[in-house]
Formats: sequence, C-alpha cells, structure tokens
Amino acid sequence: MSNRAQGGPGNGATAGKICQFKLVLLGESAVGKSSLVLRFVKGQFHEYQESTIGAAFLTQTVCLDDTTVKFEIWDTAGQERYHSLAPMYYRGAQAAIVVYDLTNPDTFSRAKTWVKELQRQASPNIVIALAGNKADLASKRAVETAEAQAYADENQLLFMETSAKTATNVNDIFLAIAKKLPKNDAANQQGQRLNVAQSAESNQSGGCCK
Amino acid sequence: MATAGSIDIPDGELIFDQRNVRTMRDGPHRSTVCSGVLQLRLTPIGYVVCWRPQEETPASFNGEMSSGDAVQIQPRRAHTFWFELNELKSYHCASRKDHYEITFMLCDGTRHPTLMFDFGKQTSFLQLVESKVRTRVSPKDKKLHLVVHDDPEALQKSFTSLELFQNEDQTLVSRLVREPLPTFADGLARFTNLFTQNHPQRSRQISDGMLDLNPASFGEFEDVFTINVDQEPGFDFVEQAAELPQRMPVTRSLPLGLDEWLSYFDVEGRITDPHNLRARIFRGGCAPEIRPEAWKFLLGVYDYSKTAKEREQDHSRLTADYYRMKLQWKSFSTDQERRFTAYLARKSLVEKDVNRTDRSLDIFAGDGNEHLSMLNDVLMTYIMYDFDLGYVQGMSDLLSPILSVMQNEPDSFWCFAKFVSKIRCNFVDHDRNEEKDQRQLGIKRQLVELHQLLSVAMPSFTQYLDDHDSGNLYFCFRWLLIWFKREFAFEDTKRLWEVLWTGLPCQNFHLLFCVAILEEEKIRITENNFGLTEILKHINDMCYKIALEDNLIRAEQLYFQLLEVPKVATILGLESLAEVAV
Repeated sequence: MSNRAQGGPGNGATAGKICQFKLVLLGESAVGKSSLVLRFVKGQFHEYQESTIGAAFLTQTVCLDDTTVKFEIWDTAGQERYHSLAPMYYRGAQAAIVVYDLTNPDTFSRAKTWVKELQRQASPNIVIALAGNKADLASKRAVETAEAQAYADENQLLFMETSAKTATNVNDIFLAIAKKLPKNDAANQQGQRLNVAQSAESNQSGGCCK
Repeated sequence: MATAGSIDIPDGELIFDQRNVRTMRDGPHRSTVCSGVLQLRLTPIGYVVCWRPQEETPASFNGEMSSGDAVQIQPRRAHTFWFELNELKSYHCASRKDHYEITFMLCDGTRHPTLMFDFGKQTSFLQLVESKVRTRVSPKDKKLHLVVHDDPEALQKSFTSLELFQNEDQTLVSRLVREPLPTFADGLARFTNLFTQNHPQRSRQISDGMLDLNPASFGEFEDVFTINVDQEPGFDFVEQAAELPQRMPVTRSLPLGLDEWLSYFDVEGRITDPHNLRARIFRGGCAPEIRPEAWKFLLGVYDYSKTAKEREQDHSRLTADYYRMKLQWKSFSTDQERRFTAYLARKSLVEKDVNRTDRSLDIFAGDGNEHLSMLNDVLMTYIMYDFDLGYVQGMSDLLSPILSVMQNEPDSFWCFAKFVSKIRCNFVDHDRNEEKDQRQLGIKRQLVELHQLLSVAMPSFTQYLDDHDSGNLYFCFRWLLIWFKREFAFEDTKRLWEVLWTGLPCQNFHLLFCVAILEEEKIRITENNFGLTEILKHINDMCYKIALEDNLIRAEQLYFQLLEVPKVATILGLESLAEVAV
C-alpha cells in the first residue's frame, strides 16, 4: 500500500526533479509478472497469485539522488490469446520489463519474441529490462544465466535474475531502469503533471532514502 | 539485496491513535469485520495515515523457503494499509445504520478499504485530517470531500466547479442577454419542469399553490438537456437524461427454496412453466440446496419439457460421454504427448491456472486438494471437447463456482460447457486470419454496446470518459470476460450468475448491470478528475466492494427506463418482461 520503494525510496522532502514514467510488464503466462509488481509495490508475495485478467495498474515511487521517479506500472495478462491487447498497454511506455520463468525455456523464447515486438513497435527509446524470474527455484533451472546475459547484451537490455518470492533483485531491477531512464525535462514532459507541492513539515524534515 | 522493508509503515512521531476502527476483511470468501488501530504519524516523508489490524495476529509470517531465507508472505487476511496524506485525493463519508464510515481515495486512483467508526468516534480524526489538508465538499455529492491540491490541474478543477452553468446552460445565459424576458420564462419553466418531474409530490404542492408553470414548449433544449437531480438532500446525485422515463421501484425476493422449487414440477417431473420459474429465479436467485439441479435447467443441460425419467436417461448419457472424453486425454502416453505440441501447450496453460484458482477458499486450499484435481480434469476434458477454442485464461474462474455447487466432474463439465457456449465470443480471438483490430471481437462489441447504453443513460459521464481516453471502456474488460467473477465474493458470484442465466429481463442484462455499477462510481470518478490509469485502478480496487442486490435493482430500473428508447432495444436483446414481476 506504500507509495515509496526502498533502495532510494522516494521522499517527499526532496527538492529535486520529479519524473513520471510508464512501465509495462510483458511475458508468458505464469512467469511472475504480477508477483514482481506486488513485491515491488506492496512488499507482498502470494504463492497462488491469481492470473491477471485484462490489466492492472499500480504506482510506485523510487528516489534516485535528487530525482524522484514515479513508475506508472501496467501489468498485463500473459496468455497468447490476449496478445492483441498488449499494444494498447505498451504504447507510449518509456520502460518495459520482459519476464520469463528461468525454470521454463519456452517462456524464455516467448520473452525474446516480446523484445523483438517492442523493438519494432514500441517507442524508439524504450528502456527494456529482461527479468529471469523464479530464481529461488535454482534446482529446476532450465535457462542458464550466461545464455540470458548474452542475449541481453546483444540487444542492449538490462538483465537480472529475480525472485518475487524472496524479493531478490526485485527493487534492484526497477531501480536500474530508473537510473537508465532519461531525466531531462524534454524526455519526461509527463512529470510536469505531478503534484510537486509538499507539506511544510515534509519540506523541513529533509531525511531521505533509508 | 533489497528487502520488503520499505513497505512497513514509516516510523515517526505519533500524532493520533485510535483503537476499534473497523474495516471489512474481504475477498472471495465471506467478508468479516476486523477491528484495528488508526493512526496519524508525522514521518520524514510527511504525514502518514495508517491502519492495522488490532488483534495481535502478525501482519506477515515466515513462509517456507528451500534456501532457508526468511520469506515475507502476506496472508490475504492482513489488511494493514498506509498512505501519505499528500497523496490523498478525496474521502467519502457516510452515516450508515449502525456506524459512520470513511473511504479514502488517492491521487493514483487507489481506493483504500472503508473505515467504520462508532458514531461520533470519527470526529476527532476528521478534524485532524482537515487541519492538515485543505478540502472542499463536492457540489455533486455532499459526502465527498475533495482535497484541494496546489497544482494547476486542481485549481482548474476548483474553478470549473464554481461555474454555475453547464454547457447547455451557457446557451441559456447568452440568450438571457439577448432576449431577457422570454428566456427567463423558458429557463424558469425548465427548472419547474425538472423540479416537478422528479418530485411528483412537490409538484402537486406547487400546483396547489398556483405555481404551475409547467411549459408546453421546451423547444430546442428538450432533447439535449440533462441535469443532476438531487435524490435526497446531501446524498448522491443521479444524473438522468430528461428524455428517459422516471425510475420505477422494483423489489427483489428471497431465494427460491426447496419446497417452492418442487412445486414447479408436474407429477412426471416436467417443469410446466419454465418462464415463470426463470422469472422467480431472476427475482431472488436460488437457495444453495436447489442449485445443483436448478443450474442444470438454467444452463440448458436439462430440458424443462422432459420427464424425470427422461432426464435421468439424459444424465446417464452425458455422464458416460464425459468419461469417454476424459479417457481420450487420460490415455495419452508421454511419448504421444511429446509429439502433440498443440495439446501440450493447452495442457500447460490449464496446469498454470488451476494451481492459482481461488486457492484462498477452503474448497480449493492446500496441497493435493481433491477439488483442484477435479478442476484440472474438467478443464482438460473441455480441451478435448472443444479443441479449437482450447483453454483460455479466465475459464478456470468460470468453472470454480460451478464445481463447488455440482461437486462432481460430469455435471460440472456440462454446466461449464453450456456456460462457455453462452459467452464463447469472449474467448475467441480471430487473430489467425484477420487484422489486429478484429481481435477480441466479442468483448469489443460488448464494450461498444455498453458505451451506447451509457451514452443514453448518462450522457455527460460518457462524454467525460471519452474526454479522458477511457471511451473504449477497457476498464470493464474483466467484468465482461468472466462475468464479474473477480468482483464479487464467491457466494455473490453464484447469485449473480443464476440471475443472469435466466436471460431476463433481456439477453444483455449484464451490460445494464455494468451501467448500474458505473452510475454509482460516476461522481467519484468525475469529481476526483480521474484519468485513464486512475479509472482502471479505481475500478479494479472496487472488487469485493460492490453491493450485489442494490446494483441488480438499479440495473432493472435502468432496463425499464431504457425500454422505450428505440436505439438501445437491439443492444439489450429485448425479450418481453411482462411476466417477470412475480
């Protein structure tokens, strides 16, 4: 329920810029897209997270030095049958996390298809991160880290192996995206929409990111 | 490594602390009331409002982890929530029968669980909030308090709200300048008419007082004029297009019980008056004990006109047919499966979804759950029954309530198959041969139809949605795809479905039900000035918070209002409701 993420959690007190970015999660069904978002936004994990029907929308704010980055996160349904709805959600997105399940090689192939589609059809400067989720299931690994890393390097993608269950690398991958996103005003006109007014108390308190 | 620590309530100076503030612990199971502690803290990030459950159940527990790490797993019952006061967009206050309630809505569209106070116990908290944020009362809903943010958008909004005249009325203003006297008379007449039209009792009083100015001619305004009509002072306004007839009172009944159910059968076990039966179920639903039989009739698994004996024969045939199809996939060898990728792909989808369908309900909880394997087997058999359609996400949601009622595979299968055939267009994707914009055609068509209904029932709200990139109504996608399964508690879903399965009062009653729900949310959406993303979030956050019976009543009232509007008759798929009123 929080509006602040850690590892540079947003802080109402920062006097710096506020940037707002649209981020979309894509990937095969049941790879853990909703679980990654739930972990990042609410710090929760549900073993039996229900499938996403349609789309869900959540927000989370992270703090990077003097910049507050607000993510508008679109979480989508994974099944191929709903593929035709995806462009609606990635249109205008400045960032995407393409998720696969590292215990299932098919989901890695599907992730590559998503990356191709984004490169072809999404905004030209979109920041794409590849997340190999379910890293806690090491014994069932079917996609080698090196293979995914090589693919990510070839395609200039951010890459991390994550676990929504243990929280490994979850905040980190969002933070890495936040760092890579352009913070100049031209690239982030949306940020102007944000209400930057802070209460007097929070302006004085000045503490940050713990 | 990052942890979930950031999600903890931020520490800070405790400004306010109040026990015994309740909220609903909701979910697919029955909602229960949960007492908690409400606090206001001054933290490094500003004022924070938080609520957490009062009894000392831990907010999280350590789950099992192979690596030995402590895993924070939040059980569904934990409802701790907090938000920064400067994220607050509005709050809604209401006096209920035995408590006072406040619902907080945030800038991003989040709607927090409603807090319930003993009468009078809310005062000091509200006063404190009002001392920290500037608020104004919504002119459209006196119970809605809007936070005034110091940003241009909010100022614009405040300014707009000060405008006393809506679009159409501005024409009236300019006419007033040009032709003062006739326009004044016209305007007064319009006011009087609206007043009398919506308050028949007062209308009589006015007539008695010789103030009857009800005009014969409305001229150009008549068609376009809509207004917010105050139903009850200080309560929600209902926008109503002036051309629609008045809302009629409708009532709902108790569910159809066993004795009454049996009275619909003749001596040989036929149902002699199926229409009357459906009308009765439309009005009140079914008692749980008759559902296993009644649902088979409603869904068309059983034929009303057959005798009990004939039905028994049909049932045996259907049961055998089910097991025949089940055997088909059960008898695949692994080797055979390996060379049948189309089947394997479908099988994998089923496995993924079965594992996460309604697991918080007792009936599907725990490992090795018997109902879970039934869910799996019925869906797998459905793949053999309709291989072209296969398994589509959302289907497991349609099956789980049916399975919980039928408690056996063959009956569940046939009810499920009939249900899917009713809404097959929701799941078909025409992507193989057609252009992209032809995909998800069934849902798209329904969303277009819903838009048409909305534009008649709530024209200015529809305009608002259009102006806020939400005219495609995709925020209703989940509602339509699985018939509100995720929006209501399990038992309410069953009630809603059996009502909708009657096909009364019209085939597309579910669209009117959408209109009814949106009518209730309209003011919150517009007054909070929610846009595309906030609307989606607000709608998604409404799950388990929608009052079923109230909305069924309003949907039926809307039906009677729209009955006379020619352009929506086809959308509704009208069927005479003459006999429904039992």
